[in-house]
Amino acid sequence: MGHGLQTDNPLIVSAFRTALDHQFLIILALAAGLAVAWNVVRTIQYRRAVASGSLDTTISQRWPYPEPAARRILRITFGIIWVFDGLLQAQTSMPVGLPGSVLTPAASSSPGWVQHLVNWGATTWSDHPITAAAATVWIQVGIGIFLLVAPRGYWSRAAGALSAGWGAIVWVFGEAFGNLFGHGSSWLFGFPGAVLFYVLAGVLVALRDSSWETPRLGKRLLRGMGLFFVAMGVLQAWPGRGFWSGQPNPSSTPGALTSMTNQMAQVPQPSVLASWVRSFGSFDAAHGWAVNLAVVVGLVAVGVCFLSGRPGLLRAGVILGAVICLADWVLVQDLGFLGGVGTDPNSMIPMIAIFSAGYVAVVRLPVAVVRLPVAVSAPPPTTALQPAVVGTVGALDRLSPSYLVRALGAVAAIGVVLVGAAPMALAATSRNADAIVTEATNGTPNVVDLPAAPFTLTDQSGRQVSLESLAGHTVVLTFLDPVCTSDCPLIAQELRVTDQMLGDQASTVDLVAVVANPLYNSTAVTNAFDRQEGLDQVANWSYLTGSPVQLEKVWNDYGVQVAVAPGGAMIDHSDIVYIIDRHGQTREILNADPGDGSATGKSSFSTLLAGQVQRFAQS
Amino acid sequence: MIVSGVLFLLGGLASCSSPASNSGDSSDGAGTSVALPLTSSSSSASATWVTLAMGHLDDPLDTFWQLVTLPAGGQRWALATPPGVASNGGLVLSVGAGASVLAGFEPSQDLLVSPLAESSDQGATWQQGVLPGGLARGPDALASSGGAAIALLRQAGGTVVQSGGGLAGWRVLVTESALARATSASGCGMEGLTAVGVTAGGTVGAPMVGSACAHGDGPGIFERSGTGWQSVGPVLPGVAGPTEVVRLLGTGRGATALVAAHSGGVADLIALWSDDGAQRWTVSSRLALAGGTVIATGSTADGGLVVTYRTTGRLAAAVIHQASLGWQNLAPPPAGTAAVVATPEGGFDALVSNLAVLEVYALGGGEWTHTQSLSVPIQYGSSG
Repeated sequence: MGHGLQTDNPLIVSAFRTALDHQFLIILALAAGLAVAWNVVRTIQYRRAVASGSLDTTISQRWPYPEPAARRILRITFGIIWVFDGLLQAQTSMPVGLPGSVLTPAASSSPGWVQHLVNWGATTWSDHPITAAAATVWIQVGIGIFLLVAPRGYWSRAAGALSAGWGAIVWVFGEAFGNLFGHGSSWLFGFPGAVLFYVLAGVLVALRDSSWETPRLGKRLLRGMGLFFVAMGVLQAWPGRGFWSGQPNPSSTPGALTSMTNQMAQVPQPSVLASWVRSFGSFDAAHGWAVNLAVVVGLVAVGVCFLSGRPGLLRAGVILGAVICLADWVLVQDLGFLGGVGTDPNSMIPMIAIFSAGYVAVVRLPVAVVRLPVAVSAPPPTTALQPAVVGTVGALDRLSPSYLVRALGAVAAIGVVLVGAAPMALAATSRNADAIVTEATNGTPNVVDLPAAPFTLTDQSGRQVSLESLAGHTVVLTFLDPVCTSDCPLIAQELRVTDQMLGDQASTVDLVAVVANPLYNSTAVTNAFDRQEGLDQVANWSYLTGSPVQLEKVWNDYGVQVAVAPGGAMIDHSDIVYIIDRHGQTREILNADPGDGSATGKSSFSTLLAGQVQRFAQS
Repeated sequence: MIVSGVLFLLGGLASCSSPASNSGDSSDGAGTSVALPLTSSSSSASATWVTLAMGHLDDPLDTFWQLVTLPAGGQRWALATPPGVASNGGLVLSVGAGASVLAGFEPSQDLLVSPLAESSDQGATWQQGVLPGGLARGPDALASSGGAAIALLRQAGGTVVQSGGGLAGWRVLVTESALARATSASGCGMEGLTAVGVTAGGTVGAPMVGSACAHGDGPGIFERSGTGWQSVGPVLPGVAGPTEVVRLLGTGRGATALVAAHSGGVADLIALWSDDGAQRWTVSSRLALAGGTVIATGSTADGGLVVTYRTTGRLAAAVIHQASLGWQNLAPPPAGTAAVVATPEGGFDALVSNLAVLEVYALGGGEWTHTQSLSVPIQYGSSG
């Protein structure tokens, strides 16, 4: 068997980059179209204004007060974070690396049902690695842009809702519910999942403006954060979880925090940062008990401050919380995205944004804007807010430049999201993995145009079958050991699935296997294999055998190596598939090595083979 | 917000508990199963044959079961593993009359049926065949006599099939449920089939089946009688609890059996001999395992039995001959011994599996002396 796919596989990396480039061109085209639309609308507005004698027909400001500061903090912070996360998803290791390096490890200590759920997502990703990785880039960049360009109104609330929705999906499949059901969780390491704070921020941004008019929302938010911090402090203080000990001597088992910082110091990163992390790790190793005590006290203190509700203590809580969060972000979480397959800056920055916004929502309420009386004469056009001009104006004329920019920007952002989401949604409806997975591991099919070597062998029913007798059909020819324990059953399953994929076209295709074992070559053995693999029910399947001399000739003619190995080993033979067209010409040779035998790999090979067979069946 | 904070705390505290431990292979406990070891030997006047695991025994895909043989009068063991099939799952051996050897490969990975190989020239050449299913996991899942063979398959709790001649034309002889119904009067309380054998007599001997019994005063040994089955196991003195047939061998005169009798959570081994086609049995004394584990079993050239077992942290071996009816302890085998086996001449060798080298020790004067190192060309990585 071969090896699994590597994260730096050149074919995958190239395909990923190409997909991103193509989708970026689509986004550019969309942006260009929207820019043209903006120009057209503004031109129409200007001409109409000139025709009516008034150069400014904009309506007055819609809202009685500017965007609440707290809301703006959330919107802009998480808008930037989503864009950053989207750019992180563009790392070339993402298509192959995310399932194995992020998704599956995140669920490794969770109950079986969580692992099952995450595995479904990981399998879907693995089946369509390019589409999924590119989709995640544009969805997250699009959501970030959406939050940034739409500051008020329904557009902005929709951005918040979209952020919350996508965040929930990532929290479930990407963070396994933030390890809520697993073990070994700690606030220090990101429990209960960074993306949960994205969800919370999205929900807050999606609220109506009236929610921000009183301090109540801010107080509730801070109370909730207060309870959260106290709970995290209690969790951190809980005995028997490895956080109260460092590493008193080199031979002792390191505590949980020491172990984590040692690991983080090893990842590729700037040397300065690595030295900080390493130094902190050494400090914790020597003073683990004191460090944990400080963390516990700090968390509880922040929580108590937030629960107090008093402005002075709230401010102190915000400052202390920001200090603790930043320290953890640098010294423990190592900025969250360095090394390996980093997908986000972890939980500390989002957490700071949440409780900071909560504090601002308490102490800085929106202030109403005083409406000025309307002037009759048309003032010179400016970009500043203008008093309303009452007159006969159309709907198009009511659109202020700022609103137009926001609307078109929101449309553009939604377009960015759809550029990623639409292909992924389509791909997810397919049960079959993309062919590129197999091509990346086994190479692309070898295209030839040679007469196929003739043969006459015995099928599983004892009938003589020659290649000539199969003329007029496309022949998929392979070589299988009927008592093989690994590759051959997998290849047989791939052929069976290929036959199903061909649908009605299967009636013009013959799946033919030749025995690749000089010792176990009786029809009793081939029939046993067919029953084992369910191929005895496949009408266009033939498993051919013959005497060792006859078989050896066919192996030689088709370049198949078959070797008997000693010591209880199975027969060593090539894993190969030939596609022979209706005229008896060999058209393609495929490497049929099943690799790690994963469901994705098998499905991908079937997809590739079915696609190639369809090409030649139609020619 | 309050609810969310409490939920976080509860979720975090819930994560404090250690993960559920994987008990892995759950045994039924020390008192209800001897866990039939596949490592087995068969000794006759012409040769001794042994199946044992070699390679990286902690990695199933790099564990390869081997067949080795020592001919009568020979001084050196030789490798005789049938080629053409991966032996990761195990190898089952049946030595018939006239030095014919039938070997069956246990299923492994995606191979669900059991290939067979038969030799009548000391393993120089092999005839191949295949069973219609996977062999049950036990040292006597195969039996052959006079050109026909029977096999115990693992499906449906145990299915016995018989060949129509050679290694082909397999048909179902009986299933566990059918046998339990047919012999319900025996009071066995059948809990799975464990072994098959063929008694002596005629060209095709009478098939026998051994089982695990939940209760009763004797082992579950059943013999084909016409188109039906009859219970032929003897009453074992002092036995009233679970029993299981560990070995069931057809001999030149009848049958030999090794039975595990469980009582109070501890198992003892009892040997049985029949010289009249499994009608009357001679019962041996008990070999107390004292909570230990049997790691290998075998037959001697004179129809006796040899057992290798681990007890209280040490290896031990014992042999019993029909004539004496009493178990004799052999000298403690060398560390790492996979099996103590009888030679055709009546001596004993200890075989130690050391990765790809088989170390052989001969018993003489109460001591084990190293006599041979046999290198086995194990193809690591060939099954993965």
